[in-house]
Amino acid sequence: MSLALEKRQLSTRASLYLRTDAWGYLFILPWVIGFLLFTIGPMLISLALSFTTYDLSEVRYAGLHNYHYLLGRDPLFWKSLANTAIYVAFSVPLGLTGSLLLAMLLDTNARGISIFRTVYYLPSLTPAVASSLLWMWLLHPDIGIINFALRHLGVTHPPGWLQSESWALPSMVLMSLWGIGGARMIIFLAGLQGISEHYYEAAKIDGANAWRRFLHITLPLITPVIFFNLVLGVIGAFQVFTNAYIMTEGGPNNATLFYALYLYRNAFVYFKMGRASAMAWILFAILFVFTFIQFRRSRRWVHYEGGE
Amino acid sequence: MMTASGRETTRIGRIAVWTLLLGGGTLFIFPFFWTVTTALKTWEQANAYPPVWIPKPFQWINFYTAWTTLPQPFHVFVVNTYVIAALSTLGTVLSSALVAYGFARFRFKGRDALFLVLLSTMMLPGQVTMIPVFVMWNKLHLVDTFAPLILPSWFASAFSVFLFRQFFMTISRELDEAAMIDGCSYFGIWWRIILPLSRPAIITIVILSFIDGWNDFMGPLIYLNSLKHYTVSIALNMFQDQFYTRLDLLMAASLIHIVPVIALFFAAQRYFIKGISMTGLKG
Amino acid sequence: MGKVWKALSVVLLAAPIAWYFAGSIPAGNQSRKTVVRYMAWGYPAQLKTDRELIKVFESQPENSDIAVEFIMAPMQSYYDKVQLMLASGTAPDVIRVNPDHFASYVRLGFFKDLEPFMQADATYNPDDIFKVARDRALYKGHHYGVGVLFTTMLCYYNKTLFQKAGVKDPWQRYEEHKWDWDDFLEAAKSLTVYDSDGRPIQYGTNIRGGVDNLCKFILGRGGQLVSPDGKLSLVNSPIAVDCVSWMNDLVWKWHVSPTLTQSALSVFEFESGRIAMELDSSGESPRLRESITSFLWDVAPCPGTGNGRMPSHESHVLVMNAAAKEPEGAWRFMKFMTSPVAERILGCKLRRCIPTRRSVAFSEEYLSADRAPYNMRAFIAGVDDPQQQIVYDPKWSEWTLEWRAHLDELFLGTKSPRQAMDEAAANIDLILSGETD
Repeated sequence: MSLALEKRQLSTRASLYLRTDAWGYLFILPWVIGFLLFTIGPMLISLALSFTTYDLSEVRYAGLHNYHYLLGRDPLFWKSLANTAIYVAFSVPLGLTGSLLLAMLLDTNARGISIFRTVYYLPSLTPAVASSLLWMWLLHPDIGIINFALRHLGVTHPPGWLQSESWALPSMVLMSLWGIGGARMIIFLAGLQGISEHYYEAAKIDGANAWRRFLHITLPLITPVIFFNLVLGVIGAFQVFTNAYIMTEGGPNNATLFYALYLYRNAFVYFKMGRASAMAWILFAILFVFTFIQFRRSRRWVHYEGGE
Repeated sequence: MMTASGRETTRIGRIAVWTLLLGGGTLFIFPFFWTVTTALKTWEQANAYPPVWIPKPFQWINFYTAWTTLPQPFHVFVVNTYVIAALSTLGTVLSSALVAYGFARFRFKGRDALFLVLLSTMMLPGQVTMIPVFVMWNKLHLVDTFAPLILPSWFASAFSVFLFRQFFMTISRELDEAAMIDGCSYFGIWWRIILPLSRPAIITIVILSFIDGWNDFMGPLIYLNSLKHYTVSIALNMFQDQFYTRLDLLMAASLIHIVPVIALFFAAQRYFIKGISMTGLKG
Repeated sequence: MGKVWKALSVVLLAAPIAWYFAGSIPAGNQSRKTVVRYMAWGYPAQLKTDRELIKVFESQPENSDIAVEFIMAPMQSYYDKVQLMLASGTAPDVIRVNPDHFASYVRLGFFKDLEPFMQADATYNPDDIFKVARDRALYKGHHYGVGVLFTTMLCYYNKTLFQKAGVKDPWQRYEEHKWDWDDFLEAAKSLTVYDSDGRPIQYGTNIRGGVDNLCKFILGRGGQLVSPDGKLSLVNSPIAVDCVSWMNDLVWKWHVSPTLTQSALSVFEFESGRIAMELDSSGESPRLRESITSFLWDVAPCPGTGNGRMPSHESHVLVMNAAAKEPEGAWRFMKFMTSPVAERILGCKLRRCIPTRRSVAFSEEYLSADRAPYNMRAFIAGVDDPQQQIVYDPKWSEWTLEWRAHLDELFLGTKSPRQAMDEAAANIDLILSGETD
């Protein structure tokens, strides 16, 4: 190779890294503009509001009062946080595993697989109005299908599901499971499809069996997607709202009072916007810390082919 | 048949997989099946116990009732919803892919911090920013238009940026470098190399984004005032006001709402074909 | 061929968008009319009437300079939207609200004092409006709204079931002056039927655990909910506990009502024909009129006579936004909506609500009906009696939600009335005293 050619190649490489700064900023500009225009103002306003009592007509400075009250004297705050944490602790791992398994089962080109994928996706497509009605129907202690089936199987006192204080929260977790064929699954599917067949063939030639192929090829290569679903799964699950709002109104006896529902109540029913803003920012802090930790730890287990 | 672990399965393996799929499928389709059959029942049948499984005859009239009951002909709502969903999907895909490219491929000061900021926009419950955001749109005189529902998507969505970023980072840099040597600009690399290789991700975002826009309720509720601007989700809710005891009609109305997205999802499946996109160079 | 399909699909996808934008090119403000914005809720049939009324209003010669812009929202999210609009200063000029929200918002200064309008307008005649309807719009002695959507609690009863059982129905009992709560219970017992498996075929009644109804029940019996100084909860007072127990007994002791669980999901709605009597708002009658086809039904006033009767009448309020852009036009519209003309359409033609004006409510047109319910006099029974109305104090939303949690325990059968109410009162006291602010 001529010296001139080598030099040109070297300088191209060098400039690849030297000029990257400005270009990076340019590409993310649309988001930055949008953030400055639409997002940061309202976010800062809500942060400011959390230090006030704002009942929709007048704003009065209140210092840390809202935070003190929530964290120190409000039993419902802790109840709603506990309810939500339990929900997250169960629905996220179950959901992730379920979605991944489902995605693997559906990751084929077999004829008719589109039908199956659509069938599994159907529950996620149903609008909340219809799906909540459906679930209330299915879970109805007397005439619902589920207890109908349970009674046929010999269970004499089937659970009261949404009407029972101890079964309401598990009902919510159960309902979340029906989303395992949903967005998360599609994303896993997309991730699985991005893995080149070549890797598997090479492994086969080396004599690896199915389990080892899964462990050493599939799993590592979809860690970026697992990471995505994990982080967003937790962020989303902590904000669970609709089902409780429509179906149980937080009951019975606050068994399904989720954090976001209690927040909504403070904002729109009690007119305590300051209190609600404080709740929002406490949640923000929790989620931010969690995500930050996850990002740090991801260096160890998430594998990006294209490098960081 | 090739599975995720990339090898032809044994007979037993295949039977196991299909049994699982069929079993799970029956479970998962059951609620939808119930929706459809209930939509075709009369009201008495819908409330009957023990349950009526398949009604005879089919009450197709329920769909007609659902379609024509509201003061505005239903197709207006459908068109409105489609416009909002389609335009915001387009915006989301283009802008998020661009922004994600910046985060995935470039190293610049504050990159990781900015990315965390991006993610953090998903961590604040929307209810507390609703009023300030609304006030802003009102000052711009854009309330009761589709602008508040469509414009923000053209400035990238955190969810989509995150997803694209994860996908872009699985694409080997060697491709980029090869293209650069051939004289391709950064934008060209994005358009000609990164995007085509990210087909599954793009289709995923299209599907998710469209469905999100189609099902969105809070946005249209807050920003739209005139009946002629309303979307299907609001219409469905208003329908519920009158017919909240009529399970049969509610199910019919809900079906009208979700059938288009089912069709979209099914059609989009042809892009989820294994083996078409490759992230590796070799082979 | 592939290219053709591609092109076709792009056209197909873009066509609706093009059509939408083509159709929405604004025609320009052709008229220079004053625009009054009006917001209300309702389901499609109700909305149609509001629009009819608006047309009538706009066609009146003295109001031809006004165009009314009608904003409607689904009931479930109505107040979310109202609140957002009020807080952001974008609310319509005229809004309809329920008494609960009226009390909350008027305290925050969102509504205009209408006294100046009423005094200045010589054609406004409030004299024949029922006191109950007018008083609902009072705040600090001034009228901050006008009463609309006037309703009452009725006892809906299934005539067919009563005939089958050979038992006197509520209207007959009412006419014979034998319609107390004991009579109610006795009727409910006669009309609760189980089949041979012990499964309920029909119930005498259906209590729903609704807080408002419970409050009215307690007030009717002479009880109070909150102490006069607003600091102490009286939900555990003897009368209140009695009332709550009695309601609860209907379910658990005498079994004449389905449990909350059983009646979830509209299985035991009145329309299902499986409930003999149901105490509900008169606002349900238009819907029932359309949907009930399989049995005969009618209405009677709620049980109880004289002082024992529930304060059954209630009125919604039509208010003017304090920041209304067109107060003068808004006032004219509000005046119209409560005028005899409008009331005759709403009350007599549509039967959506009770007219607030005596002249219309006592008219032959209103009182005679060609379809069920025929006992129209039940709607105005007791309208002039002194009625102890619910007072929506500043902490109403918060303490009733707290109360509801304890009522849940009670109605699901997990706690005794005394116990549940004592605990409720203790927690509500904290709320009332401002501890939770």
